Amino acid sequence: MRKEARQYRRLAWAGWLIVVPLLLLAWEITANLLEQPWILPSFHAVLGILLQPLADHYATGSLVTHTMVSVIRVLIGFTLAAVAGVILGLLMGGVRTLRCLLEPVIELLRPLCPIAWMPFAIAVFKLRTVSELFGGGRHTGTIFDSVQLGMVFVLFWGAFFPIVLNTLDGVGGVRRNYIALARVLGAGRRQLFAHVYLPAALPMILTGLRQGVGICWFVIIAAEMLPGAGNGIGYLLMYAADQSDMAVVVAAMLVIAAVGALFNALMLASMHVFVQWHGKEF
Amino acid sequence: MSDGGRDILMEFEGVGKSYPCESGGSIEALADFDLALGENEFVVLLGPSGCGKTTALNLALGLEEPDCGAIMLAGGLERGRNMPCVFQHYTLFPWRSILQNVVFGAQMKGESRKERLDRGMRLLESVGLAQFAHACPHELSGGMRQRAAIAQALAVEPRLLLMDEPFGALDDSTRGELQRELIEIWRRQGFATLFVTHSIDEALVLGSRIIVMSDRPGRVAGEFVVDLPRPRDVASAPFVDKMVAIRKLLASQFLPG
Repeated sequence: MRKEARQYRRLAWAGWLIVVPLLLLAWEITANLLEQPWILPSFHAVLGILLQPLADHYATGSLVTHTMVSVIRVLIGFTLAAVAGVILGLLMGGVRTLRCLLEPVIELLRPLCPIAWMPFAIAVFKLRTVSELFGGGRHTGTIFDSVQLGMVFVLFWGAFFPIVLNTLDGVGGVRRNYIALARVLGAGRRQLFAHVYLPAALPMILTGLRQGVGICWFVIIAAEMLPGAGNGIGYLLMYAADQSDMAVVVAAMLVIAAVGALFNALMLASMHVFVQWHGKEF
Repeated sequence: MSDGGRDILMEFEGVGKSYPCESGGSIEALADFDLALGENEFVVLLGPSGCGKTTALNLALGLEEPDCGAIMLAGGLERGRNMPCVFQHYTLFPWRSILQNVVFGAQMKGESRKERLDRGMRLLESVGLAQFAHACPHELSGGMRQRAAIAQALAVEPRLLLMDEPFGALDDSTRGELQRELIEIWRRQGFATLFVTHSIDEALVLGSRIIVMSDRPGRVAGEFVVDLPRPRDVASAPFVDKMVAIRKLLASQFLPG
């Protein structure tokens, strides 16, 4: 069993060291044969762009500054959704009345693609930014000048539903055995919540957060492609596409993929730290 | 309450309980069930699965309410305070270390951190698990987990300990070991025990009194006082005699087919 596990880990390394380079090589050869860089830029051209992450593109900013803006937008929208979603999920899990009252609204709004909120968000928030919200005016010189409230609003809806619903499922799915055990050991209603429902639901809460941050990263790229954005990695991608600068487009795509993978890896790592016991019940 | 000099801790009087079933109608789990349990007594509730013994235990624990009849507790005895239960499965919280599991009850009572951890360590030492204090439940064997669960129940300093087939999932030798340890702890600490099992052997090894339940709806079919000295020799003539008597009673109650 252990030997097998080691073998598979070795295979995973082979995936990185053999399969990925082979794909890159195939890409390079195809691009050179095709000789149409406005359709398929060569790998070395894209790599050249990626290796200069601080170089400016079209006087809009560099790969790093655009990516930073997108990440900050996501972090703000996601954090708000995480706080609201976990609290509401716990409340709904604990108070049956609240759950019954809110479930229809949630079921109705959940299937709505977050991007569909965008025109509404722009109508409500115009181009106001987080800086303005905190009284700093439009030009504070910080990165928050680029965090439009409308985008935060859209990101919030993207992450909110998976977080609420997973938290709710987590609270609802607590084994009755643990509740009985806690009760006979003297736990009151509040203690039951803090010491049984919450820790037992934690794996599901973290699953919701992981889904939420993934959706946010999808949503922000799309949102930045719409009118109203002046920066962000999605904006850069669209801007480069308009210039037929496919090398920058592909470089931006690779950055988007890498950041998404990083978010996911961070969430998985936090799962390992906080709920080591998950899947090891008896 | 008293019963011939011995104080009664808990008494079931004409207790009935039924559950609705999915096809409509209801299943009667307990009917006219009587039981009295005295201070320091080790009472075993014996019967095959489905005879209502777990229902009786859940009623005693206050996890469910009886449909009729009454369950009386002696003064000072309080559900969720000093009458814990050791279950068969899910006896420890998987997100807590062994020590944190043992002190759960004390934490609920608001005992200070240092005090409860000290006491928890002493309890773990007494069940031979001190070196596993900071391990997670899934890292322990089934026998060690049940030992930890006993320590967890003892941590609330019970006057009445309830046990629902706590050794049912263990192998024979581990079960025997834990039975001996349980008896030792019980003699040393002096609390009453209501122990639910379907094993005649286990009932005879442990109990000072065995209550045999009838087929559903569960009521008392017979009662056996076991005054054999402990530790009990399972091959001795009086032990075997009692076993045969209980088996006959059970056979008459639960006809095959």
